[in-house]
Amino acid sequence: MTDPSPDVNAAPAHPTKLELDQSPPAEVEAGTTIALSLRVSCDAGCDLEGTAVHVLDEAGALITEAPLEPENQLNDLELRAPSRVGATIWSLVFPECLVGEVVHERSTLIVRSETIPHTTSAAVWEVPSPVVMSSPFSVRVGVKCSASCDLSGQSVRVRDEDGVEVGEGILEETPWQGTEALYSVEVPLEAPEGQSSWSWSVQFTSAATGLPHAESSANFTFRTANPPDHSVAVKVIQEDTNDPLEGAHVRLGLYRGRTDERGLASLAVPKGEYDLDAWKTGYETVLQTVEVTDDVTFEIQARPVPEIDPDEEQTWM
Amino acid sequence: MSKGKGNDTSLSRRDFVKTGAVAGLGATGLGGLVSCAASGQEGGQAWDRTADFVIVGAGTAGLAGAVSALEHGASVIIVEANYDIGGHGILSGGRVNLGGGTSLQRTHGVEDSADHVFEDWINHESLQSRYSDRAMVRAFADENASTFEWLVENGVDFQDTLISSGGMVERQSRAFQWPVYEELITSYPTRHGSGLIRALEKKARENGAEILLLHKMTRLVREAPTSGRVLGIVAEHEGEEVRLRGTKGTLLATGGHTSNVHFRRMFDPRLTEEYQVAGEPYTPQAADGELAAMAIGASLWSTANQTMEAGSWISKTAHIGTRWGYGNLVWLPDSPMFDRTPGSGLSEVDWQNAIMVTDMGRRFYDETGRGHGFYNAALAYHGNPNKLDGGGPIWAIFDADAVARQGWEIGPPYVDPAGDWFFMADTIAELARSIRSPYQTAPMPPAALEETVARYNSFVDSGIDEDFGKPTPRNRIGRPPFYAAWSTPILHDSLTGLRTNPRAQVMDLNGEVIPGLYCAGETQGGFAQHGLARCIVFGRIAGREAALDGQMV
Ligand SMILES: Cc1cc2nc3c(=O)[nH]c(=O)nc-3n(C[C@H](O)[C@H](O)[C@H](O)COP(=O)(O)OP(=O)(O)OC[C@H]3O[C@@H](n4cnc5c(N)ncnc54)[C@H](O)[C@@H]3O)c2cc1C
Ligand SMILES: [Zn+2]
Ligand SMILES: [Zn+2]
Repeated sequence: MTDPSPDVNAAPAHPTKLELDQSPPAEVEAGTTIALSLRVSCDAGCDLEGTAVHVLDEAGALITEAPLEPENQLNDLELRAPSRVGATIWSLVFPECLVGEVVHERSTLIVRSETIPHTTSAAVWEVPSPVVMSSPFSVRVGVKCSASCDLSGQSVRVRDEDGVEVGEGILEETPWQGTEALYSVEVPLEAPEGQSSWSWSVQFTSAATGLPHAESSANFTFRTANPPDHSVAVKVIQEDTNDPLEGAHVRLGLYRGRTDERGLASLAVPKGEYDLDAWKTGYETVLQTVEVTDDVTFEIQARPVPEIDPDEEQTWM
Repeated sequence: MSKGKGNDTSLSRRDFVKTGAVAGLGATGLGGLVSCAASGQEGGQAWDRTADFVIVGAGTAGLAGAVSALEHGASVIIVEANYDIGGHGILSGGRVNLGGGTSLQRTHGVEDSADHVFEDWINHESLQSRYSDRAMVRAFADENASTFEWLVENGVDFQDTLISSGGMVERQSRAFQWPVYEELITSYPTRHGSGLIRALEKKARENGAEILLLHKMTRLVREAPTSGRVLGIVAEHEGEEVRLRGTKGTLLATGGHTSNVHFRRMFDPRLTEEYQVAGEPYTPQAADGELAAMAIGASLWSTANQTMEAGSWISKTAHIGTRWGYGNLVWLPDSPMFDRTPGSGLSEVDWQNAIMVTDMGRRFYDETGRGHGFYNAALAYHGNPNKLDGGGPIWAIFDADAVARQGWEIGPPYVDPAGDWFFMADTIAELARSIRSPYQTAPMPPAALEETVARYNSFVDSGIDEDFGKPTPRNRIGRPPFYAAWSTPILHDSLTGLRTNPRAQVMDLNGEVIPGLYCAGETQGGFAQHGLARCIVFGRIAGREAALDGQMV
């Protein structure tokens, strides 16, 4: 049906028009695709089946020819953004062609979008707190790209409150368990001096190679404390049975731990007076104040809380 | 009614009326049909069905009304919009707050009286009884004990236990769950309301009630638009109109208005579209009865009850990550409702394992808190200019450690990460970006959520929630992946509805009875009691009153 050299003496040519169903997204991430749906129309309402729309890049080079679907429609035409950042232009061209006996004029539509770097975001976990002042500790830092790129081998930095770099790590080979593409690394650090709370940040700046990635950062907080003097064992038992309670969260001042199958949590703390209690879903404990002057074992009784029946709560008065 | 080929009785009757008129047949051969057409024809249309008592809604109040009317000799037709009977009643816990000296109370050595019931429910110190209409409460109190015995006589099997109801003495009884598995809407073991409702249904059918399922009442028929007697109703069935005449009366027992956003916002404009309702999607509280009655001049009553900021007409989501997470109502995979919900949600949330944030990614209250302080904060303006009224969605935010501590399984039949109510992501920022829900009217700012989580984690380190006073925040939100689960408060009771007198007769704005129209259940106003008891008492009163109309002094 198409003929590359139409007969100029034939009937008057039909003008054509290209129209997008929806305007293109203002931004597209580098190397990713956007999908456009469009229509070619002829003023005289011809069926243009058998013709194709040409997609050209900025340099005018043909990227692809997309054959028209029924009703002169072109659905989900995929355009891939370049791997560099900046204004991006594609030309969609309906070339002059013969449909039946009639010449159909060339029409063009320019599609503009801004190619942007991939967004990245960070997570920080396994943050101990409190840590002993002026002593080593570590945190785990992970970075995720919005397009799930492999970020292994790239570096992350940790900065203190003044923005001074205090640690660095190279993201490991495999994503963190249970995540889609969170690449992570344990970063060794040293705690500052003094008893205080701190807010540090991790920063990811992508390597110059490969697809462009925006920087990202995330804050994390921790506390510092004096070196421990004593080891404290906290035993949590069930009030009614005296059975050890496993998995209870124990809190002794700022110090936290979780009980093992013997109901025991061990903490190393400086001398002093502390509030002590424990928490586990379905139990309650009474807050007590204790004094640590030596290595010591404390016991906490956990009382099962009767389950509340939601229907019960609906009973008024 | 024009689809059938004449095998539809209502259609052939209609045709007969028409043909009869043309052929000049006398009215005698058609008996009641023509006589009612003469007095009550509306727009020249006759009735498709006639009974003494037409009941709208086969739920708690409707079935009580049916059993009661039948025992007083009336014939009964019930129209029910749903595919099965029961409404909220069949989903309920089946705790029935009836006392006043019941046989069960006596067995347990509890002394009670109608006066005690009355005093408890008009106690001015409680917001939940302060605004009730005392004449309504008096009628309720006077019929408390007899209504309990009546339920027992009519086949409701009660457990031999009394449960505290917060009043002077223990009153509440609890039905046994219905023993026929196939007749349960949810087999969740606490849903004892099935025992109450199926027993009443059985009794009503035995005594001759006809129940028309998938018949939705669309309006009432009154002699004149706002005067005269209510003659019956118009219902819709499979796209066709069906007209039902209730010669002795019509009972509206449609279950309240809570699911109707425009209606509920008359009382409280904060209750915008994002708030789901307990009992959905089995039956909505669509305000059909209220709207139909208001259209013919009925009045609402005791509207302060709807805004009293006490009790549990609103509650926290008990099963997060689904929009159907009300209290004890769990749509298990064997429920006919299961395929209408994306999952039963993550249950038994310990709010030490999660924070709650607004659509803008900010905390707003101590997550372990309850009560109206919490709800008011959840329903407040949260800085989203697209969302001036209502508080927008509330999301629970937690991490992989929380999932492990809770022992939750992420995925079906609990949550659907591809749906609108549950999201997961590798970082907090991506989690904020991933939240897309029909009620999230603006994207959650990732930086706001990151800041919220970092700040909360610092409270975990110090043990002190400087913003909202959550008692000793215990757990950091740190280990990926991260989760966002729908946790928007759930609405429940309709505590305001149509004005009736203590005989359950609907009244108009001049305080006059609208003859022939009755109302019971959550569609009825005047008494802010939660649940089944008032629905049963006034359903029973309505059935009796309508059946005996004119014969009572
Ligand atoms: C999960 C849950 C647990 C509960 N637990 C308890 C409890 O333990 N104790 C307690 O006292 N209360 C409890 N309740 C409350 C109690 O169930 C309700 O207050 C009571 O059932 C209301 O009765 P009703 O007759 O007004 O409405 P419903 O029982 O809901 O019946 C209304 C019926 O009307 C139908 N209908 C509505 N519109 C139309 C129309 N236009 N045409 C035809 N039919 C229509 C509906 O489909 C429905 O079947 C609970 C409620 C829920 C949801
Ligand atoms: Zn043409
Ligand atoms: Zn990337």
